[in-house]
Amino acid sequence: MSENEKDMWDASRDPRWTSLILDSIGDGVFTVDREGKITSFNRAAEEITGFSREEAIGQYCHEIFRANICFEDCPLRRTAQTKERIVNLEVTILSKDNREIPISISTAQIVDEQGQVIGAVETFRDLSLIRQLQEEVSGRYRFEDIVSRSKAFSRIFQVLPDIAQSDSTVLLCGESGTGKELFASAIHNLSKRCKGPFVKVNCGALPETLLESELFGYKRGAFTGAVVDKPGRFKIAEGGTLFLDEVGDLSLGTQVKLLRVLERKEYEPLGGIKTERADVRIVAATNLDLEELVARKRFREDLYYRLNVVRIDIPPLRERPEDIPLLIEHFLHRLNRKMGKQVRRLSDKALQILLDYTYPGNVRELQNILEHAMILCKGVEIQPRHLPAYLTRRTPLTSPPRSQTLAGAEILREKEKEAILSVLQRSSFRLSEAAKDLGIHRSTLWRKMKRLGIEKPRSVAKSQ
Amino acid sequence: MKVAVLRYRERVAPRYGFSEDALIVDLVGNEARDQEVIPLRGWFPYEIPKLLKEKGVEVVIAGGINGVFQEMFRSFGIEVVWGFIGTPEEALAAFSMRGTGGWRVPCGRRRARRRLGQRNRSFGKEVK
Ligand SMILES: Nc1ncnc2c1ncn2[C@@H]1O[C@H](COP(=O)(O)OP(=O)(O)OP(=O)(O)O)[C@@H](O)[C@H]1O
Ligand SMILES: [Mg+2]
Repeated sequence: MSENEKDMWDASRDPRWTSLILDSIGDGVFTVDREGKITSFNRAAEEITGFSREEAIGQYCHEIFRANICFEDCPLRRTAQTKERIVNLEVTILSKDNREIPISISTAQIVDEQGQVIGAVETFRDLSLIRQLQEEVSGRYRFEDIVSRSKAFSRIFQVLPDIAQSDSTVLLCGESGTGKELFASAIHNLSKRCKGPFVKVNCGALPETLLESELFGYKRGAFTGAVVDKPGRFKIAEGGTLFLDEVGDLSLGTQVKLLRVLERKEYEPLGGIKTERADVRIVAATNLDLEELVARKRFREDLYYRLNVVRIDIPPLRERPEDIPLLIEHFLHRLNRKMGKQVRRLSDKALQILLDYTYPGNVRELQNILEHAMILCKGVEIQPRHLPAYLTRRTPLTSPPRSQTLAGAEILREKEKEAILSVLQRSSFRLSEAAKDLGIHRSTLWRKMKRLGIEKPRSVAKSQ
Repeated sequence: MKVAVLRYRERVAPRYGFSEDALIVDLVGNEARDQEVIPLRGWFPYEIPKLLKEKGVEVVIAGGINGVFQEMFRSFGIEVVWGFIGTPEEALAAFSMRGTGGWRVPCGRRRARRRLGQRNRSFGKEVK
């Protein structure tokens, strides 16, 4: 080593330098002493856990970090005792504000110059974004993803775990975008079948014959083109949950076949001679009024009773406005991560607009509105001008004299009608476009229009 | 008022799902009477609100607790006060002073203030 180098400031030995380095890296880093009390806590650790350095230092690490593994087999203690290093172990922590955050951790011993163990260091990486993307790809949600503080939901939450644990058929009823699918996966994830598959079939999306082969599968030679056996969704879902979405759209013919499976717990694949056992739990969903369909003979009464063993009614968002701020916060958080943004809040005016709106497309529409706003918003606060124009433009329709004689339900109906009309007007009554804005299916929009008595004006009807 | 402190190794449980037992006391002013400990191991987290309700508990003191579980407690009419770090005694003392603003803050607060002074002196760390 030259004289020159010796005189040089040795950065690695300067504690100030070390803390600067630690604060500039993206991974969380903290150290503990031999008692397991936190002795340092870098900036990323503050950001991920939500605890400030001041709050964390001196506390037992499991009381700040609160990872599931802390209470089972503390990795830091293991490392301190056995020298075993842990690399990229995936755990979830509970942040200061009670969010569960998936992270991956790595640990190592800290040894002083005499070779004595003086503590351990842990580095950790936030996996939320990766997990979120994975979840979106696999379409799975956890119970914790259902956000609500409304009375109706807390009643549901109270019984949901018990419902999930039982093997009974569940019928989820609610308008488009209210979270039926979210509930279906929550029920699956809380059930004894959670290790098995969760398989979804959209009963409204396929014509009758295709749907049947999709549900029950077929055997080789069942028809021209059937050159190999194709397992149906009942088979694929074996040991797990089969989610029948939009059951109200089933044709009467398929309803008979489905009824038979539900009654006998077995079915025959098309062209098959052997019956197969159906070891699946059924969760069905609909945004239609099944009773009304039964009354109109569009839905079999016996099937209705088979499905309606346990029924969960999910109220539309406009009936639980107390959930709007909570959902906004939830989506801002998710979208910030997904889009790499730092949007923190809504201005009072923007929030008021969202609180006043009636959401015909329910939670999905709120989510779309926020996504739209976040694309436009460059700062930390969403302003009214970032919101879709149909929310802020005051059409003459939006301020009818609030007649005292209108009952609550009628007021809601009027507000919903207003909202749908203004979206339709904006898209010049192009249904697909309007449905997309509202976050609902085109057919759902069409049904809503019929129910609310909205008609296309003649002038635009022609151009469609 | 019957108050339950969720515990893990004799301290306030840092995470609801890993509570070992609940210390139930009848809080009269700042005096804790009729202590009872009920084990929570083996219960599913969503069964605990009902269990505590049957014991007549009105308030639950917790460390970290997911919003969904808070909602479950509320649906049983049980209030949840969370964010405590420390011993059950410290938590109960802080809770009995509620309304004075001290109860939402982790029990480590005193220590935290002292460190705040240190932070300002420390090198390179801007105050946010
Ligand atoms: N309570 C909730 N908390 C958080 N997110 C929600 C909630 N309800 C709905 N969402 C979100 O809103 C979107 C729509 O929900 P989902 O697809 O479950 O609705 P749906 O009832 O199945 O609608 P459709 O009838 O149109 O299929 C999803 O992105 C879902 O994650
Ligand atoms: Mg759906």
